[in-house]
Amino acid sequence: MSLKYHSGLNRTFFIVIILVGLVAGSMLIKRTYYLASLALTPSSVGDVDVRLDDASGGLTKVTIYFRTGTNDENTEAISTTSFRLNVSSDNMRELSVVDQDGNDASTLVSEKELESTGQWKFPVNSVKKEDKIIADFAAVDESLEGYSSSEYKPLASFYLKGVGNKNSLQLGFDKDTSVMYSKRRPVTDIWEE
Amino acid sequence: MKLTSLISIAAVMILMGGVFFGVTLVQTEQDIRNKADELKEHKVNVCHKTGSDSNPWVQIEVSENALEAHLTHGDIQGNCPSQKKNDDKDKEKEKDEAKDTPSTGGVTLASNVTVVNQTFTPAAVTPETKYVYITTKFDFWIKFQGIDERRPDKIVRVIFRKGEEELHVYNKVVVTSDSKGIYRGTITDVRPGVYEVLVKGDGFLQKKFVNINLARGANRYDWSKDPLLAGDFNSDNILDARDVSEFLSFYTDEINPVNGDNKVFDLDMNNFLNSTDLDLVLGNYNQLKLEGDN
Repeated sequence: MSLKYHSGLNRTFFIVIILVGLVAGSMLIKRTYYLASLALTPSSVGDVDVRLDDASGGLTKVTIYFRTGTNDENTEAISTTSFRLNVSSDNMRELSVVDQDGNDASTLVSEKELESTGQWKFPVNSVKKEDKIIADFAAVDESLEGYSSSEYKPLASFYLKGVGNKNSLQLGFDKDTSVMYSKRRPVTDIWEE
Repeated sequence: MKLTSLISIAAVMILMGGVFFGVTLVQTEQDIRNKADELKEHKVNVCHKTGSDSNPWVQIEVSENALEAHLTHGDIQGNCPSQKKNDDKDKEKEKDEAKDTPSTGGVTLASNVTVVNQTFTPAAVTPETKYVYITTKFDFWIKFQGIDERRPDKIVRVIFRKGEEELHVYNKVVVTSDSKGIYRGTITDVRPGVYEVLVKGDGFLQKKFVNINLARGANRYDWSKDPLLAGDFNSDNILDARDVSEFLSFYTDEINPVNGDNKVFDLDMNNFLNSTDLDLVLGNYNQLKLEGDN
């Protein structure tokens, strides 16, 4: 009896050690994979698009779209994005920023779909006209995981009056203030230049 | 039980104990190193009044905790001037010059004139060399946005500036909180005059206070009605999207305990990173770049 008992005890110890080793090993592998995934995901995968659409009353709707990757394997979760969009025209005198009813406006309209999640805040939001139209906007995702999407989703919009020919508009993002920061790698700006 | 079995069991136990002990030892050593680094950072320079006639002041380094006691008995925070060293240097130089052989100095002497080798003894430096020190005591009170009750001490940088010139820079001034979260600091070796004073703490934007008139003796300035604004986590004196994203990278749970890496984000110093801290930052983030005073 004693021989079988002690052999069984030895076996148990070795099994325990093997199990502990397996658990530790799998945690290490998982950590290595995570770090490797960080390295593999390119930093410039975020993208922004501006679309101009005709709206009622002869207005032009300017919508800023964004995505955080180009496909599901190449997507980064973000926590914060901000931009300064400059709009100028050959006919600046006629150009003005309005709401959808044609009244003067000083803010952009943040996307309702994002607002409805309850996870987004839009702390910076202003549009003004100087020698050009300057639209400043910031969006913060407060969720614990961050936000990711490989499809373009609308972020914010505003209306212009007096555009005339849409091709006459010149639009450009200020590089210094137009950023999209990764949730996991906070100092990494994934906005593709 | 067979001996071989016993030995096997003992070997395994020793192995496991050894691994555990080794890990604990490494961790303890790292804790000690961290603590030593922490203590090392919290030392301040003090010009210590010895009470001796021949050597009235000496440069020492003391713990921040002992600073108040030293200042009370007449010590001065900061460096002692180097006048005494210069006096010693001058003495040495004069001694060397006296050893030189005297010359005619380029003058043609008549045949009946003899150059006498005369040794000059330089005048001794009077033992009672007086040092003139600034006798201002500058007490100030400041508030950090989000802190409304007693909290641990903080470290701030204080700069006294005239025009573009930063005349006095104190990088590690310890400030102590009262029960309402108002912090007090003391600086004692500032030359009297009118200054702009810049105050900055980790995680907060710099604040400027103008027309600060320091006279000899006690000076008291209460700036607690104008709090330092929260949100500058990378110390560039600008609150922007990058600061917000840095905070959110550590905001991975509803309540995140403070550790060595994320301490700066705990703005209200309640030992947790949570939505209260985030709301403080977002409340200030109302333009793409909010710059602190300069």
